[in-house]
Amino acid sequence: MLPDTIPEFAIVGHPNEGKSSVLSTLAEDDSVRISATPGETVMCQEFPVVIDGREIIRFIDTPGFQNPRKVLHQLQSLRDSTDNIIGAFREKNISNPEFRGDCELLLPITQGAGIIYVVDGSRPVRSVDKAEMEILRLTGLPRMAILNSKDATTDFLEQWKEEFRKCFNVFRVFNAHTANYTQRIELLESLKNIDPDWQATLDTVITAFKKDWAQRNLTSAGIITNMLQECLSYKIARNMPDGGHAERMKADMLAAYEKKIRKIESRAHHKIRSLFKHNIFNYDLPSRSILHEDLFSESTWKFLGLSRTQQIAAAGLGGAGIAVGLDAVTFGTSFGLFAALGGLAGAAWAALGSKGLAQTKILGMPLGGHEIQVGPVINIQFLYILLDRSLIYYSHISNWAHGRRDYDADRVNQERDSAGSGFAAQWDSGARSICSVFFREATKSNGGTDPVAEQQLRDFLIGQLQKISHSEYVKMM
Amino acid sequence: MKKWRIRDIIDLEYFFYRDAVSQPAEDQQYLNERDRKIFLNSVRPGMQEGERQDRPFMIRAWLDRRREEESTQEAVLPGESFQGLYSSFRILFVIAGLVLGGGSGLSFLAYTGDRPLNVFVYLSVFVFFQVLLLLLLLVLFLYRMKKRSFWSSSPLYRVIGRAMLKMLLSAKDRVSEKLGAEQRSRAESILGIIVNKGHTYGVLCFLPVFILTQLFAIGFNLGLLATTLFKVVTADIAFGWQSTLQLNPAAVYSLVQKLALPWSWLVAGDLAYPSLAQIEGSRIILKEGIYHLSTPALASWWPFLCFSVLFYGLLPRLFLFAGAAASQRRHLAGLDFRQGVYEQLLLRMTTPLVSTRGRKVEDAGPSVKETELNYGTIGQKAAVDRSGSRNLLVMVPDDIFAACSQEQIGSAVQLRFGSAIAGIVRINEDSDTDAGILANLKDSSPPAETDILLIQEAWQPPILEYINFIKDLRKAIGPGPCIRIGLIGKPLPDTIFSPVKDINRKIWTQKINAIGDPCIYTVGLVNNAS
Repeated sequence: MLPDTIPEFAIVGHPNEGKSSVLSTLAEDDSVRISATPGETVMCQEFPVVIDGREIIRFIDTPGFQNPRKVLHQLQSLRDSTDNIIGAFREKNISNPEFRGDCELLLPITQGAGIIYVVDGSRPVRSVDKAEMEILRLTGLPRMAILNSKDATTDFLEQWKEEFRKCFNVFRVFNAHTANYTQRIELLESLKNIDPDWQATLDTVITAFKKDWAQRNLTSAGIITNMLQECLSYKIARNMPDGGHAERMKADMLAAYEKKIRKIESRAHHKIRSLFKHNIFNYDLPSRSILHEDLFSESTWKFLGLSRTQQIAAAGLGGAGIAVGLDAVTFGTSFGLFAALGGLAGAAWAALGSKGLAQTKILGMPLGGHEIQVGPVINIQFLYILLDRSLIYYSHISNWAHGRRDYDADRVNQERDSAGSGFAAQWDSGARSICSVFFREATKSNGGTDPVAEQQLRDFLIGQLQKISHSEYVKMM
Repeated sequence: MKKWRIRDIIDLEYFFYRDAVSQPAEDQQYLNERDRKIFLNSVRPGMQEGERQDRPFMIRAWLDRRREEESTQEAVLPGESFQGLYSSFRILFVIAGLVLGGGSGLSFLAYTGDRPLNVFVYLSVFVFFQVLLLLLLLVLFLYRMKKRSFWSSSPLYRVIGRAMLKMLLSAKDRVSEKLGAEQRSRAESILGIIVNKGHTYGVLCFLPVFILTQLFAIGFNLGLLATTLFKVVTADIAFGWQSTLQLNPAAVYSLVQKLALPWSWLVAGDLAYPSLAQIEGSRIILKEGIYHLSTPALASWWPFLCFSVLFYGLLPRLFLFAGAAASQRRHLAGLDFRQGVYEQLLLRMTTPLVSTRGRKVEDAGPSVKETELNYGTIGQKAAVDRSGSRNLLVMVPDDIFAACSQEQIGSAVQLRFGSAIAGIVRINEDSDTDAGILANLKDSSPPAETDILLIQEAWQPPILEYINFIKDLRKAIGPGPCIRIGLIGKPLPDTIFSPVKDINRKIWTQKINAIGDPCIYTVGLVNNAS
C-alpha cells in the first residue's frame, strides 16, 4: 500500500457469515442490507470514516466467496508464473459469470486493502473455509479474523482458533449483534496490530471515535436536563367562565397536561436516537418494555424512580414544600390535613404514588371570574421516573448494535426484566440531593432556573451515561 | 383408473404449490401426517392385497382426496376454472375465426361489376398463405421429431428462449442490486420451476394453445367458405385472372390442374377446375375491358376456389385439431410422474409415521392404541411395497465423510427411503478427484433403478461451487436418474444426521428449484418428527 493512500479494510468471508452485520455495527449504519438468505451482498460497498470532512480510513463490504476451492486451485497454479496472483486471477476470470462474485470480492484485495475475515464461530470449520483462509494467506496482505458467532454454540470455537493461528496475524471475537461502543473501540485497537504502518491513522480514528462518543454523551445529558426542566416547570392555566363546570374543566386540563409532558419526553428521546444514528431501531421496542408503558401508568410508577421506602424518605426531606403545594381548594379538607401534619404527612402522601403528580389550583380573578391552573409538578418521584426512562432509553439506543436487526427478539427477556428497577433506585444520597435541588429550582413558581443546579445535574448525568456506555451487559428493559 | 385431464394436472400443481408455500414452520411434519393419512384412508383400500400400484394411480387417488377436502370449503379449484375458461375460449376462438374469415371473405368479394375479381389474389391471400403456414409448421415438426425433444430443440422455442433469457439476464443484472437476496432467490426459484414444468409436461404445456389455434383456423376457413358460397349464390360475381407477365393460359391451366389434384378424382369435369377454354375466356386484359369476356368462363372459377379453401385450409386444420387432441390424450395417459415432487409425495404416503414422544399411561385410550398398532403394521407393509424402489448411490462430502460410518449412512437411508445403498462415494476432496468421479460416472452409466443421494449440510450456504457440482453431476449421469439432495443439520457430538432448520431447507430448496431440473430435489434426511 502506498503511504499517502487512505487505508482500506475489506471485510471478506463465506456467504451469510455476518460480514454486513459486522460492518453495519462497526460503521453505525443501519441502512446496510442484511438478511438470513445468503448472497445479500452482490457488489462491494465502501464505508468511509470521515473526520472533519477528510476521509481517514475506509471499510469495504464484499460479497461472499462462491468458489473458494476452485479459486484456490487456480491461484496455486498461477503462483509459478506471476507474483500478483490475485490480479492475474481476476484478469483471467473477470468475464466468466461463474467467478463474477469471487472477482468482485477480490477487487479491494488487488488494491492492497487490509483483510478482515469474518466467520460464524457457531458452526464447524469446513474445507471451503480452509480454502478461503489459504487464499487470504496467499495474498500476503495484513489480515485479521473475526469470530462473529450467530448463536450461543461454543463447541467449534477452538477448532476455529486453531485454523486462525495458521493464517492470521490477529483474531478476536466480535459479535455484531451485541457489540457495543467499547467492543467497537477494542476491534479498532486490534486492527492496529495487523500492520504497524496503519497505527497512526487508526489512532486518529480511535481518538475521533472516543471524542465523538463523549460528545454524544454530553449532548444527551443536555437533552435530558432540558427535558426535565421543561417537564417539571410546565403549567397550564385557563379562565373558567361563570357557571362553568370546574371538575370537568380540570379533568380536561389534566389530560392536556399529561399529553404535553409525554410529547416533551418523546421529543427528547427522539433527539437522543438520532444522535446515535439509529434510523430503524426504536419503533419496534418490545411491547412489554417499561419504556413502552405509558409515562403515567401504574406499572411505570411501580418499577421506576425511587423505591417506596426511598420515596417516603425523600418526601420526608421536602415534606413541607409538598404540603404547601396541596391546596385545600383542590384536594379538599382531607388533604388539607397533610399541611398541618407537615413533613410526616408529606412522606405518607408520597407513598400514595402518582395520584398527586401536579398541583391544581383555582385562583380568584379580579373581575369575578376564576382561573384554573394545572402544574407545575409537586412530586419528586416524577423527576426520578423521567430520569430512569431517559437513561433506560439511552442504554437501549447506545448499546443496540446497528448490525442487529431482530428488533422483536429477546421479548422473553424483556418481560422478565420489566419486573426489575431502573437506575435511580441505586443512587446514593449525594446523587439524590443533586436531584432534589434541581427539582426544587425547576418547580419554583417564578419559572427561573438555577444554573448551578442544572450544571450539577448535567455533570452527574454525563457520569451516568459514560458508565452505561462501558458496562459489559446492559439490561434491556 | 380415471383418465388424466389437463385440469387434473393443474389442480395437482396447485396443491403442490400450496404445500410449498404454506405451513412454513412445521410443514414437513404436517405434510407427512396428512399424506400418510390420505394413503391409509383413501389409497390403500382401493388396492388389492400384495398389489403394487403404479404411481399415476396413487397420485390420482391423492388428488381426488385433496379435491374432496377442498370442495367442502366452497373454493373453486384452478383446474375447474381453467376448464370453464378453456371451454369458453374454444367457442370464442371458433366464433372469432368465423367472424374474421367471413368478414375478410365478404370484403374481398365486394364486386362492383366494372372488373372481375382476381382469382390470383384470392388464392394467395386465402390459400397460399395458409399453405405456407402449414409448411412452416411441418418443417418445425419434422425438426423436432428428428431431435426427439420438444422443448430444448424446437428452433422457435430456442430463439424465443434465448431472447427471453437475454432479456431476463440483463433485467436481472439491473434489478439484482435493488432486490434483496431473499427476493432474488425466490425469483430464480420460480424461473427454475417454470423450466422444470416445461421438462415435466413437455408438449402438454403447448397443446392446449395449439388446439385453440386450430379451432380459430377452422372457424376462419368455415367463415370464408360460407361467405364465398353465399356471395356466389346471391350475387353475380365474375372471377378472372390477370398478369403483367405474358402468362400463357396453358401454363395457368396446368397450374390449376395440379392444384386441383386432391379433389379432381372426386368431382368430375369442369366442377373440379376450369377448362383451358374457360381460363382463356376469363383472362382480363385491361385495355380491352370486360365486355369481350364470356360469362360462363367468368363463373367457372368459384368451385375451384371453394375446393382450394376446403382442401388447403379447412381439412388440414381439422386433421391437426384431431391429431393434437389425440396427442394430448396420449401424453396425459403416458404421464409417469417420476419427477422429484411426485417422488416426495409417494415417499410421504408410503412412509409410516413414527412417534417416539412420551405420554402418560392413563392418556393412552384403547382407540389410540389401536390406531398406532394399525400404523405400525401398515408401515411394515408399506416398507415392503417400497422394497422395489430405486437403489441409492450415496455421495458424501469429504468434510463429513470421516464423521459417519457406512452403517450410519445405511441406516439413515433405510429409515428415510427404505432403499438399499448401491455404493458410497467420497466427494469434494479436491477438484481433480471430483472430475475423476464425474468422468467415471459418465463412462459407466449407473445401473438402472439407481438414484443419487448427495448428502449436504443445509446450514452451509448453497454457493455456486456446490450448485455447479450438482449440475455437472447431472451432465455426467444423463437425464435418467434423480439426484436427491439429502439435507442434514449441524453435526451433533454423536452423529451428523441431525434435523434441518426450516430456513436452511427453504434456502436450499429455492436454490435447487432454480436449476429447473424436475429430477433434482431436496429432501430432509432426518425427519424432524422422529
